[in-house]
Amino acid sequence: MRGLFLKLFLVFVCIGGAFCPLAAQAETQEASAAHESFNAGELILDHVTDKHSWHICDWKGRKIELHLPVILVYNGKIHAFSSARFENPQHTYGIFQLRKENPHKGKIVALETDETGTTRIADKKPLDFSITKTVFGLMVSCIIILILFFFIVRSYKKNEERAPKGVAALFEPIFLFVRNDVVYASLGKKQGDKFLPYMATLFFFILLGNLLGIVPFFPFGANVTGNISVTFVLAFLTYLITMGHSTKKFWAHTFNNPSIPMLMKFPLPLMPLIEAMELITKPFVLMIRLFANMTAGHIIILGFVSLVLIFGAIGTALGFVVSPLTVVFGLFADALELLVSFIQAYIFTTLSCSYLADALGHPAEAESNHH
Amino acid sequence: MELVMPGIGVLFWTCLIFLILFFILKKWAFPIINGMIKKREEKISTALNQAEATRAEMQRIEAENKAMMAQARTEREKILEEAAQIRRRMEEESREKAKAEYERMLASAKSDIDRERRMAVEEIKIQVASVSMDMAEKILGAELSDRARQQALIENELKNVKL
Repeated sequence: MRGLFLKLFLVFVCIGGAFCPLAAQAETQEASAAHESFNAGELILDHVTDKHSWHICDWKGRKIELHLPVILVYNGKIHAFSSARFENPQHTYGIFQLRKENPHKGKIVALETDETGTTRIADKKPLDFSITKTVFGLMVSCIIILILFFFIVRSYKKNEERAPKGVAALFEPIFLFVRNDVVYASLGKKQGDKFLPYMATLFFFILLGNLLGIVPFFPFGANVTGNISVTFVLAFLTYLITMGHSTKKFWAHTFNNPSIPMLMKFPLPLMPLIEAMELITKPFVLMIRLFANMTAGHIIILGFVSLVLIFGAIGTALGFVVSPLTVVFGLFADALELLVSFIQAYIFTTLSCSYLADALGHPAEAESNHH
Repeated sequence: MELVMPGIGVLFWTCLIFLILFFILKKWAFPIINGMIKKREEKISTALNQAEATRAEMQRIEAENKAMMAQARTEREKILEEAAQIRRRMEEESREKAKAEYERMLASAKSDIDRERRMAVEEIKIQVASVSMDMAEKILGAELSDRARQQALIENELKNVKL
């Protein structure tokens, strides 16, 4: 019972944390822009997309934010400077401008002056290798993973073969679940042991990214696993591993599946085409699923939180009336996200394993048949 | 649109960070963790096997003990039975011996008594003869002066007397 209360308390604290910066920001927005109506869509998109600075909170009307480093490659030269350099009315530094309006909103562009003396956006775009909010969030989540593993490994070393204690006791059931029910289940023991480090890293990387994405205060809450570039990399690495370990049988099955009648392959190679398309759609779907789920989760939470701000903008009393509803919905959305965090980490790893098992010719089945 | 367009910077950094994390965990953390877990699993399975074997051994020993106990019990009963038999036989023998001894003693006593009695009777006979002779001598006196003849007569007469 006490554990339950503690958990509920933590959830409330998290949700409470979610409101603070948002509410503060809404107030300053209202204060600065007089009676400008509150735009929930903009706020939400602003939170789920990547940025060059990390807005922590507002304090006495001033924005407190972390200016992240900007690293640009333009015309073969590397330009590195703090994003604080863009804190001027034109948001420019040298020839670079951080766009605050469309086109290229939120991107860094290069400016050039033509013969008539007017400045315009150059056609050539600088390559942006900046440590953005997402990258910073990634680093934070990896550091936390490493710290956790440091304690886990230390605990294992200390405990040797006895039952795990502390962090390791929390970690082990999850690790065993990944090992036995995800990796061994589809890859078998022999092949599973070979790919376990990758799959387990993938699982904990996604899980920590998801979980820390829900925590609403700095340095967490970056939409890491809801960033398509991040999911692209993860899906692409899985794809590379899958293709790298594919067997002849797999390719024979893909382009000339013996269980499909000849009519489907000749004269028009319909099934081989579909199977070949599957090679691309599998990692693509892997990428989209994680991205869409996590982004949607963030949007839902922010949407519910925005409710109070929308109604508050209409009338203060109305805002107060709606606030309990916001808390309840927000709580629900957060709890759902907690579940989704685990599920998506599990699904991504399971599907990675199953694609790999396809490519390897189902070693788990071969192993179980052998015995 | 920006939301669904992968950016080169994040791609690069994600790749780098993930691979660094992967190699650190692969080289350092997972071998230790997996090794310990496997070791523990092995230990548990061997301990379970051992416990199973020990239990079987215990059962075997228990059965053996039971059989031994049963054997010992039958043995004991046999010994007791034998002892009882021996006791009975010994009692019988001693009783018989005592009886024989008693009978022997009785017989010897009887023969002793018989002999004594016969001797006594002889004695009495002699005494009576002597007494009778004396009396007859006194009574007859002179009449029977020839003593030798008289003696022969009396002896003859005595032989006919049966006591």
